[in-house]
Amino acid sequence: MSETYIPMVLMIAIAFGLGSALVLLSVVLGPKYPSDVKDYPFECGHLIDSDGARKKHSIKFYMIAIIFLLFDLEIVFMYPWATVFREIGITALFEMFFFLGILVVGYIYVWKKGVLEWE
Amino acid sequence: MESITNSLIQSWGITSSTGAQLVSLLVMLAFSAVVLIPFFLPFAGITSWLERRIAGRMQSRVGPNINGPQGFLQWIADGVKAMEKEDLMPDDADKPLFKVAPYFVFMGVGATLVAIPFSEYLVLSDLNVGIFYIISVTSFVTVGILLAGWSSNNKWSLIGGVRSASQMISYEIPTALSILTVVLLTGSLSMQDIVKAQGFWPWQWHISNNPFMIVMFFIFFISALAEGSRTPFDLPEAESELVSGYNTEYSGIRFAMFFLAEWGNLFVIGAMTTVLFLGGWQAPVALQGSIWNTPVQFIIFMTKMSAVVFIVIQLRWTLPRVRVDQLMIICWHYFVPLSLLSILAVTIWMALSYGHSALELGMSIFSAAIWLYFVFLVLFRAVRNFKKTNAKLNLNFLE
Repeated sequence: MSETYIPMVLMIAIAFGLGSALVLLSVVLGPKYPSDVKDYPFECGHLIDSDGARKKHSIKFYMIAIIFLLFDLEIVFMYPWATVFREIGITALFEMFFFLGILVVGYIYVWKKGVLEWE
Repeated sequence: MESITNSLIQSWGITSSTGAQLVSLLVMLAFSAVVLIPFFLPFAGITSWLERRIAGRMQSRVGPNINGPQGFLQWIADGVKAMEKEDLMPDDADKPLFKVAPYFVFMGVGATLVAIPFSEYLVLSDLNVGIFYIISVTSFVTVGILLAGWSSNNKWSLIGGVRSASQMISYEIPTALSILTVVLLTGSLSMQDIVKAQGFWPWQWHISNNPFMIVMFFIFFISALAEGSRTPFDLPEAESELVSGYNTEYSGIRFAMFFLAEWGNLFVIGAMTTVLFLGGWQAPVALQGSIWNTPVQFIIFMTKMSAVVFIVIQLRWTLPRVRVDQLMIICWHYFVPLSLLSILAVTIWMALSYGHSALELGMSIFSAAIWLYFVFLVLFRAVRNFKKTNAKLNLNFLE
């Protein structure tokens, strides 16, 4: 059991270690000449306007995030169904038709409300 | 993996359970390190060189050709150069997040390598939730890119990061739905089971199970391009609109880490396409079942993977970038309904053909014929157009 999951942790640890080693090498090898102009954010020379970027964003991005959550959860429910589909057979097919039907009603509602329009 | 460990334990004459556990831990550590450092890094680097070379050829210019034979060592030069640059950080940036963001991207790509089967025995860990694991771990990349965009406190970076997040989460739905059909056909989430359910010949692959799987293959391939933010979907770093997108403020090795991860992602795209739809490492029946056939299976896997990677690179230098609204419309208005319909069609076909092996084989050969016809059509047209231009095939790369 644990043997299948140890490589996962090891790989992430090695990837992290490799990244740190590269950054460490760059700290050793790279120069350090700080200056005020270098530390400005790069906005094509507009120094006056560089009062931070975190301002209001289009609502569309948030809507996409919410729809994604809903759809992704539906898909998570569909994966266990897919693994046992051959064993259960035709009953599973109709059950999933019903489930997908509810999903599609929501999808059509979202579409009609214009959430998916990007103009 | 386990067979290698067991043979090592036997040959070293280890009997105690702690000793055996230690050996298996060491084998895992060595294997993970080998997959990541001497295989993955050079792969990403060489792909970056190859991509610039192919781009040069396609645009009638030379590309990198100075460092090493044919410029082959260009990627090492690039890495060393990136290390010798100053690691800049803007004053307004959120410094801890800014520093940590490249690691997330790097770790996300590295972690996917755990579950990818290179051959029958050459897989780091055959997780029983393998495909699920890969889908979830690739979200690390999204988190990293969003962090990079947010922490830079730069308008270009933030727009790039937000675009990237919305693109990646949108395209995760068609990707997951197309993978779902493969899971349906296999009945298992394990990557090895998915490969074992296929065969060596093209009509035994999942792509040619029925014609709807070809549709699913295209949806998966295009969505994978979007998830890996490759052109025509490279909006997060659209050079002509957003300076460089989420990595505008990065320099030196942290910048290189983003790009290492991006070219590493190419490998993941190619490997996933191969494993899920194109038969993975499957060799002819005579070359299976023994650990000594690993090189053959590995070569078969790498050949298919390289072909997919080559197509991805060629697409990048052929197609223009889509707009943000077009990107979203492609996903939500076309791919989601199409993949839902395809799932229904695949399940109905499975229910109808269940137990009729002759029917299944006939349909497989039929749909293999369909996609092979398209492949030959493309090749035929390429050859014909090439002859029309009166150009000479220049295989002399030494200029």
